[in-house]
Amino acid sequence: MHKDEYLHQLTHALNNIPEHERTEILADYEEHFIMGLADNRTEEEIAKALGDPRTIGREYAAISLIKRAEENPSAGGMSRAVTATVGLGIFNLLVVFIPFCILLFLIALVLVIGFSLACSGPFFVGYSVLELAGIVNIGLPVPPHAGVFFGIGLTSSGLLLMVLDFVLVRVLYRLGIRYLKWNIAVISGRETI
Amino acid sequence: MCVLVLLGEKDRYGYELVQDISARFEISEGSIYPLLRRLRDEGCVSTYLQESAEGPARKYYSLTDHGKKYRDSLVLEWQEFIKAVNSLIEGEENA
Repeated sequence: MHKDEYLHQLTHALNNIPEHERTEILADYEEHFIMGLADNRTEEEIAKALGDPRTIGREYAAISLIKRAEENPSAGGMSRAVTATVGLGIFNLLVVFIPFCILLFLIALVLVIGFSLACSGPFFVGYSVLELAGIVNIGLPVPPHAGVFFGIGLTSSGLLLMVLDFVLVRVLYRLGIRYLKWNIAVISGRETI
Repeated sequence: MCVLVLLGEKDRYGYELVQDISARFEISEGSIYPLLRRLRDEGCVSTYLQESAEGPARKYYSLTDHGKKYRDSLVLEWQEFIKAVNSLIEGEENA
């Protein structure tokens, strides 16, 4: 592969990352080619030693997306970072994608439980009051006096669960970013290099 | 770690660094640049451009104070690991 073809493929693989980063990266590889030619190597030799431009491009894209997800936390940013990291190797389907889905499911589950608890509280209080007033008699499982407090308790614990879920999401987000960075460093076996 | 050690000796430009590393390890030359970029993002190395006698300006990489500390901790970790492995191998031979 010639220099132009190589840089063209690399540009193509980098089309998801910001313009200024792409320019910088391409400049590094262009400099490498120029130095290599000055070193009496041919363009083909240099391109071969550099390795597949698409693989390199995918790695840059993943690094860039993780950095963006870290700077501007968002669900979409995290998903893109995870997807890009998964794209680096089939093994990552197992150690990145599946754990990510499980965590997402657990977070949603806790949120739904918290929300249901919080919503059921007012109904409980309402029925208890109605029963106390003698308007309805639907046979609550607890005495109506206790029912009022039980309802308040339900709402409070539901809200608490939701708040805890948000705290959990923030902690997991930070840990997730760290894990993705670590993952990229390890799968390329470059901790030592 | 090796990149940080090499940069600890003196500032080097990209191509020089890549040649030094790829002479020692079986690694595609192109994947060292992402590593350098990551180290720069993490504040371990800084870069500057310098004109050269032949050809265009070169991008030099230099180890920061943070990078030095990080390198020292990695080197220490590595030496302890090697020591543990060696003592295990020697122990096996004696047994």
